[in-house]
Amino acid sequence: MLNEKPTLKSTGKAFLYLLPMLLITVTFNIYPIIKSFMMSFYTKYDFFTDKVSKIGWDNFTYIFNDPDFHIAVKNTLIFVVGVVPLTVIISLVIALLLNRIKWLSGLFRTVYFLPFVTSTVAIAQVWHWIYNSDYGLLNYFLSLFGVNPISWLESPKYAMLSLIIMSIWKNLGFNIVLFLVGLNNINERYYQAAKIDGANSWHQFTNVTLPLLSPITFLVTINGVIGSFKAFDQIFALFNGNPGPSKSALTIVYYLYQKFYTEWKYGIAAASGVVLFFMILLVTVIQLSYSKKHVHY
Amino acid sequence: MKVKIAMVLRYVILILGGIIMLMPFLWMLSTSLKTQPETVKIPPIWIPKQLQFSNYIDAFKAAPFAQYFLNSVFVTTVTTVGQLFTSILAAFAFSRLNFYGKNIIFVIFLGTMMVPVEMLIIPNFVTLSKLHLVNTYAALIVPWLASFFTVFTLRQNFQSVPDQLYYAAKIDGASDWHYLWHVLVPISKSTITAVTVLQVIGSWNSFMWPLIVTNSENLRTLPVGLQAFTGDAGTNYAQLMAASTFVILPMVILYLFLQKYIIAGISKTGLKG
Amino acid sequence: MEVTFKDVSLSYDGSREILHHLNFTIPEGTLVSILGPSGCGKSTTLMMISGLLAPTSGKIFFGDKDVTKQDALARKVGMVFQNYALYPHLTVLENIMFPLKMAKVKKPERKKRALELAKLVHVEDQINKKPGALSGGQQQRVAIARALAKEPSLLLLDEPLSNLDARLRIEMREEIRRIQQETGVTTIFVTHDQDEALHISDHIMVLNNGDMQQFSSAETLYDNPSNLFVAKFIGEPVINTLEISDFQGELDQHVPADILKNAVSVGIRPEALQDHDSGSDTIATIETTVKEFEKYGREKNAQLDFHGKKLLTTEIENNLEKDQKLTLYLQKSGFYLFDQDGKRIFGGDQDAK
Repeated sequence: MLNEKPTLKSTGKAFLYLLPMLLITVTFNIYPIIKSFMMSFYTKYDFFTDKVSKIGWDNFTYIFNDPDFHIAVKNTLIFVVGVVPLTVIISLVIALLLNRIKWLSGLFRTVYFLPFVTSTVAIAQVWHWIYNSDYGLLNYFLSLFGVNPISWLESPKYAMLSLIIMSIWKNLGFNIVLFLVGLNNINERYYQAAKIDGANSWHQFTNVTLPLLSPITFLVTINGVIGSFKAFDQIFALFNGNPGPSKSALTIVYYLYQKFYTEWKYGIAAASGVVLFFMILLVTVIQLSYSKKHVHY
Repeated sequence: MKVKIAMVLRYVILILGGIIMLMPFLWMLSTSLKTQPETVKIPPIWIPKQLQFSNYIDAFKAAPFAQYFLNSVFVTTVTTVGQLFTSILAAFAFSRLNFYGKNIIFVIFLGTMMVPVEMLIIPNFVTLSKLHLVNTYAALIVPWLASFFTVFTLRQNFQSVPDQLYYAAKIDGASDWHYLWHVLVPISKSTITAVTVLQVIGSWNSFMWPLIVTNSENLRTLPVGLQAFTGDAGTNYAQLMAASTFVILPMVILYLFLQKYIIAGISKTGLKG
Repeated sequence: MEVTFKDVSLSYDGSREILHHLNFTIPEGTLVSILGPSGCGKSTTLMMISGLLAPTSGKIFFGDKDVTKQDALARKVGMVFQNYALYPHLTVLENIMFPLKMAKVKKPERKKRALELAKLVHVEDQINKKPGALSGGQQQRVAIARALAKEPSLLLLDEPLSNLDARLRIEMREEIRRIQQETGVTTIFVTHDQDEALHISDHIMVLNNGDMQQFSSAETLYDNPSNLFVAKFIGEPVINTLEISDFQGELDQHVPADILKNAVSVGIRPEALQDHDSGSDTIATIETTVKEFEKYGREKNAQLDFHGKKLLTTEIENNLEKDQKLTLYLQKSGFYLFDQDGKRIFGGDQDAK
C-alpha cells in the first residue's frame, strides 16, 4: 500500500527491479571509479596477475614532471577556451535569429543540428580533406582572398585552430536547440511589459532575454567545458592516430590513451585520469558557485 | 522599412551559416562521386562530369565494410535494447517503489555521473581481460548495458505521470509489473523514444572504447573500421569520402525521420553531449 | 458487500493523525455518501476502503472478512477517481477491458462484457476514441464502466462530479443513481457538496477534521443534526447560530432548566422563524427589528436584528418595512440547543442518530 514504510520484503522486490542495472553499473562504473583512484597509486603493477607490489605518489610525481603532460594540460585548456565561448556566442546568436523568423525555421534547425548526429571519426575524415593544404576546399576559398596556402594539419601553429573550428562546427546544433528551448520558455508577457516600460530591442535583450536565458547559458557552458575537457575522438581521427604535429593537439585524455594503450603504463594513465577528474570537478564547482550569484532561475 | 531590412539580414546570416554547416556534407558527397583526377582539381568542381558510384563499390572491396556495418548494427541494437530494459526497471524502482537505501543509492549514482567515462577505461579494460572478454562482442556491449543517465531521465519522466493512474491500475488489478509495461511504458513512449534515439546515435558513433577493446578486424565497428581504412586508402580521397558517407548516412536518415524525438529528448534532458 | 470500520485511525509519519477512531458499517447494496469540507479526510477514508492506504490502527472488514492487511489488488473493488484517471494511450473500449485483461479473462469474453458496460453507461458510440477526445461527462461514464468491469463488490467514487459543469453534474448524479440501482452494487461516494449527497444517497456520513460527525439518512441529518457542525454544514440557507447569552429569558419558560443550564449554542433553521403563529409547534416568541426585506417571486427573506445579532428567516407571509418591529414565532422543528462540545442537547428527536 502507498503509505507503507519500506520493509525487507518491499526492499527485496525493489532490488529485483534494480538488479540488472546495479550489476552492470557496479562492475563497470562504481568499482572502476574506486579502482582508478587506487591504480593511480600503483607504482609497481603486474597487469597480467593483477599484483601490486608497490604503492606511492610516484605516478603523480611523474606526470607533474612530465613535459608531455604539461603540454597536454596546456592544450586542453587552450582547446576549452577556444571552443566554449565561441560556441556559446555563435549558438546564442543563431538561436535568437531562428527564434525571430517563421518561414524555413524548421529547415534551418535541421541543417544546423545535422553535424551533431554524425560520427566524429567519419566527419573528421571530411575535415581532414577540407584542410588538405594542396587540394583542400578551405585553402581554395582563402586563395580567393589572396591568402597563401596554409598547412592546417601539418603545422603546429594551425593544428589546434583546425581542431577548434571543427569542434565548434560539430557542437553548434546541440547548443542551438538548448537555447531555442530556453527562448521558448520565456513568457511573451515579459517582452510586452518591457515594451510598455519603453525598452528598445537592445534593452529588451539585455534586460529580459539574457537574464532569463542564464540557466540555459550556464547549462550550455558547463556541458561545453566538460565535453571539451574530454576531447579525444576528433583528435585521433583528424590527425590520423597522432596527437597533432609536434604534440600540438595532445590533450589530457589523449595523454591517458597513450600511456595506457601504447605504453602500457597503467598507473601513470590512471593518475592522469584522476587529475582530469579533479580538473572537471574544480571547474564545475567554480561554475556552480558563480551561477549561484549570476544565474536567475 | 527598418523591420524589413532586419528580416532580410536575419535570413542572409542564417543562409550563410547554413551553407557553412552543410558544406562538409556536400563536399563529402561530391568528392565521393569523383574520379581521382577530379578530386585534386583546382578550382574544385562540385558536380563531377560522371557520377562515380564505383567508388563506393571499390571502398567496399578495399575493406570489409559490410562486416563493420553488421557489427555496428548488432552492437548498437543489443546495447540500446539492453540499456533500455535495465534502465526502465531501475527508473521504475526509483520512482515508485519503497525500499531501504533508496535515497543513498540515488545520490551515489548521481555522483557517478560527474566522473568522466574516460577515466574508467583502464580499470574496465583490466576487468574485461580478467573475464577473458577483451576482443569479443561482449566487451563492446556489456559495459554499456546500463546507463545512469538513462535511468535518471526516465525516472524524471515516470514521476511526472499522475499518481492517480497508478492507483487506478492497482484498483484494476494490475501488479507493479503489469502497471510498468501496460501503462507506464506506453504512456512514456515519447521520452523512451527520445532516449533510445540518443542512445543509438551515441552507440553508433562511439569510438574510443571499441578502438581499445577490439583488435581483430572482424570485430571492428564502422568508426573503428573507417579509421583503420584511412591508413589503407592513403590519398584516395574519393574512396575515403565514399566510406565516410556510408558511416554517416544511417544516422542522418534516422535523424531526418525521428528529428522530433531527438530535439524533444535534448530539450528534456539537456545533458547528453 | 458490507463494509465495517472498527476503530480505524490513520496518521502520516507517525505523528500527524488524519483520521481518528472511525467506527461505522456501510450496509450492503446501498449508496452511501461521505460528506465533509475539503481536508476532512473523506478521500483518505475512501482510499483505505480501496486498499490503497493502510490504516495505522484498527481493522477493516468486508462482510465478515478482515481485509485490513490486503492491498487494492486483493480487495477487488471498483473505483472512479476525481480526474477519471483513464489510460490516455488506450481507447475507450480498451480502458473498460483493462481490468478484465488483468484478471486474464479471454479476449472475446472481455470484449463482450466491455460492450455491455459501454451500453450501460451510454458510451457505446465512443468506444474507439481515446479518452483525450471525450468530454468530461463521457470520460466520467467510461471511468464508471471501467470500475464496474470486474463486477466489483464495492464501487468507490472519489469526488466524481467536481470537474463537471453544473448541468452535467446534475445529469451525472442521476446517472450514478440509476447505474447503482440497476447493478445493485454497494456504492460509496465522496463529495464536499451537500446537494449531491442529499440527492443521491441512501445514507450520508459527515466527516470533519478526521472525526465522523454523523452517519444517517439525509432527512435525519437535517432534522436531527447530532451536533453543531452538522447543523451548520447541512442546509441551505445556513442555520442561524446564536450564543445562549444572546437570549434574555425568552427561553426560560420553554426549555427545561437543567438543559438550558448546559446549553452554549443555539441553532435556528431559517424556516423555523415565522411571522405568524402556526399553533402547536411554536415554543417561544422573540422580538426583533427588520433590517432587510427581500422578495423575489414567491420567496420572501428577511434579515432581522435580535439583541444585536443577525437572524435570517424565509417564512414571512406579510410584506415588511425596514426598521419595523416584528414578533417571531420560534418553531420547535428547527430549533436546537448545543452544549459546549457542540453536542445537540435539545430539539429534534433526541433518540435519532
